[in-house]
Amino acid sequence: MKKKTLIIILAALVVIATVLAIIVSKNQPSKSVSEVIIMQGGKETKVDLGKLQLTDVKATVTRANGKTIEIDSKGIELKDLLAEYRGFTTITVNAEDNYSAELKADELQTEKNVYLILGEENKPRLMVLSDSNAKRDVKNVLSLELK
Amino acid sequence: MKRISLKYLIFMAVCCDLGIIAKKLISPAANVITDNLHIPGGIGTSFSLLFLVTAAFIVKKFGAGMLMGLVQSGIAFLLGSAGSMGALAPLGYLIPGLVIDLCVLLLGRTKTPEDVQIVVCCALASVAAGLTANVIVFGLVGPVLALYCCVACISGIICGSVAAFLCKRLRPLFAKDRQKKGGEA
Repeated sequence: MKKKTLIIILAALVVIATVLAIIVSKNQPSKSVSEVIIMQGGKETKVDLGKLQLTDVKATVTRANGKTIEIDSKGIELKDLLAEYRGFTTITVNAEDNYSAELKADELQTEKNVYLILGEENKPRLMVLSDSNAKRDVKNVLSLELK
Repeated sequence: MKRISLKYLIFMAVCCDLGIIAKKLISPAANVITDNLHIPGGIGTSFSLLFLVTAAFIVKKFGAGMLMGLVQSGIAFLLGSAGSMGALAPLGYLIPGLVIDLCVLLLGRTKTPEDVQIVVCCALASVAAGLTANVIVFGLVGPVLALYCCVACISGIICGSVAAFLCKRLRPLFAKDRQKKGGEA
């Protein structure tokens, strides 16, 4: 085998890889940015927040450094989102960057307190309005684990 | 396997370490490409195998590739970077090592120029590593598997060219040693 043959093989492989990459990318299921995965007992359910009936969420949240931020978005109360789910006491909210926050199931019972809103670029964001330090302000929520 | 001198063993050990480090260094950049192609890898391993192929073609002893694969799997375990293959990680290193050994043995008997032998060896070892990982962990099929193998082969050819260059530059350092011992490693 000569170097010339090797270069031809490399060029052919690049062409084949390009064609395959196009085929593979076309076959990939498109994931909505506002999608959240709800996990309970090994079962996973995908929910697209953007396709649900959302309400206006307007609130002022205080951060740990004392600064206040205004929330004016659309969202859904977590208790409404999880209305069909039973037999859990804690909810772990996981973000894309592996940050996570925990909620007790009892906390959901308080009216107009725990929301999943559409944050930046329509990505899901957890807001607990009663928190004084916004530690459970989770941006880019990926999944909700019910235990 | 015939005895290998201490000088060669040290060189092989250095190549094993360089392989692991190269893989770690290139992984973030490689992941950007593989993520966009929707495949689980195939580029980083070629950079790791580059040094194994270089050492195998310098030492030219059957079993050197597998020995380096075994050492690399040990290092990977000790550094906690066994990856998704878990306890089966040694297989992921041994099989490419075996392919390297077979290439050194079989291609060495042909009249193919050595630099081409090195490139072919690196490409085949990369594809073997990818297929092993696929059998153990990924379970890809169809176009995704074909793309995975293609990317592994392309990166193998590119890394093989680097290995051929390295071999060319390093061989004079070991040639003196060979001459002193009458051509035996």
